[in-house]
Amino acid sequence: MAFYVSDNPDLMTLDQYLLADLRAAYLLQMRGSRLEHIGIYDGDYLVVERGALPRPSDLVVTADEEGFSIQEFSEGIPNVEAVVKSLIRKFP
Amino acid sequence: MNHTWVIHIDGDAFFASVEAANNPRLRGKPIVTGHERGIATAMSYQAKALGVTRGMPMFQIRKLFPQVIIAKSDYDSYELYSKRMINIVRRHVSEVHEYSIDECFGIVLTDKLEKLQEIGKIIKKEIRSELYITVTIGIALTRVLAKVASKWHKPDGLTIITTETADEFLMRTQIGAIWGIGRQGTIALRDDDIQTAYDLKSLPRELIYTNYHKRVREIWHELNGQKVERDTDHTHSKSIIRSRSFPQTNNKEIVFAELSNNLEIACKRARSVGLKPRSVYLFLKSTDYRYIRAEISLIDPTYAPSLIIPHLRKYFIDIFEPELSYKSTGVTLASFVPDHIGLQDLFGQMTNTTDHEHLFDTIDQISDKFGNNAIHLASSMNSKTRSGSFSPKPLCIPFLGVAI
Repeated sequence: MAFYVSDNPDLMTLDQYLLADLRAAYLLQMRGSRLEHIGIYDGDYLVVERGALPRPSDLVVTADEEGFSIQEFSEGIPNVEAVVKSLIRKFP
Repeated sequence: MNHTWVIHIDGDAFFASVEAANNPRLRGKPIVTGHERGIATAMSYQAKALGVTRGMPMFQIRKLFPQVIIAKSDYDSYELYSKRMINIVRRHVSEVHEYSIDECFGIVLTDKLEKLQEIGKIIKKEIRSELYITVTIGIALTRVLAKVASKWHKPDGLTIITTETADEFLMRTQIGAIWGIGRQGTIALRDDDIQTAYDLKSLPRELIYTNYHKRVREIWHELNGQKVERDTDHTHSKSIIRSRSFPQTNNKEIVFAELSNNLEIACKRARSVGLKPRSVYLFLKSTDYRYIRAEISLIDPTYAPSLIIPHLRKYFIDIFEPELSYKSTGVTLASFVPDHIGLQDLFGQMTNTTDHEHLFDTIDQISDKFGNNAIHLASSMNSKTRSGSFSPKPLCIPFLGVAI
């Protein structure tokens, strides 16, 4: 699946904006209400960076046979694959 | 003294690996891509181990290997991962040349094997951590040897072939496994009792030059550690390239119009620098990333597209496969002759050529005044009328699906 943008050179594209400082950015979409307490709602998009080094207060993406999930980072949590960098919310 | 090393980076089971990178539930499982085409276009190593082969029909896979996960190809993702893979390689290696969606070549200057090891390892590490796929790397003094090296230990391998170790590798490489030999070449060489790459490499130069065609001679040089600039390297030398993608289609006339438009624009560039091409390369790119190529040699070099079109049409009809869907075409002009150099008129064609070229001088003047689309070849019509319309391109962020 891909998101499409115009190839009009006069427009700054969303990816240019979102990826400015990121080496390896990916998009993920939050499903469910598990993280509502920290302000991440069902349907929100997350820009995440693979291979980035997480710091203690970061949210990270872990992966296992159930799929991806978002966790608060702590030393020693297994299968950390990416660090959450920004949040995109679609307002109703 | 520094040697110029060729590094070859090859994505392991690339399409299937990207599927697994995008979806952790698929990791470590037998995956096959190509659901939409009804045949396997790529397999994960687990699927290969079961016995699935490329091109195997899906119904057969379902029947024989019910545990295999069949995925629909996601070419947008494959392309994004491919671009990122090449960008990572570019951080460490110069003259990176994309050979296909899942492999590229580059150049490393060094005299230290440790340096080669180090570069190989860092590329693998960054690709692994940023893309969640693995690659196999081969490094050697020539492209053909680098390909032998990258085939050596797959997946996730790193193999370096030096002048000292080459023979060992080549003795254990079957002739048919050498890059560029092809099926016909393999049969011909086997008939001459040449079984391994080492057998070919050890043939005396005189024998190679009297008995074999150019391609085999080139491979012989490369096996012996001598670099050969191939015809397919024309993108490196002086050339004019024009390609464009379009909404996917299997309509022959639309695809030809795109090709014709590319030729017209490339020829205009050639006229503006006063160079007439002797060679015209064309390619069609299908939606599943197959490249179909042809090469036209012009007897009289010319930059009048109207004189090249009949050849283009002929080659196009030869290579166009109606069952494929296409997304891009391109034209490369090469082997240039400056237009102030007069050529002998061996076939009495020159007057005709000159007439056409004068015509296009006039057309250039008209386009300068009224815009590029004011006047064009009828064969490019379909492509011209599409110019300026919205052609979407994917955002360069791969979408990994949902997280919980």
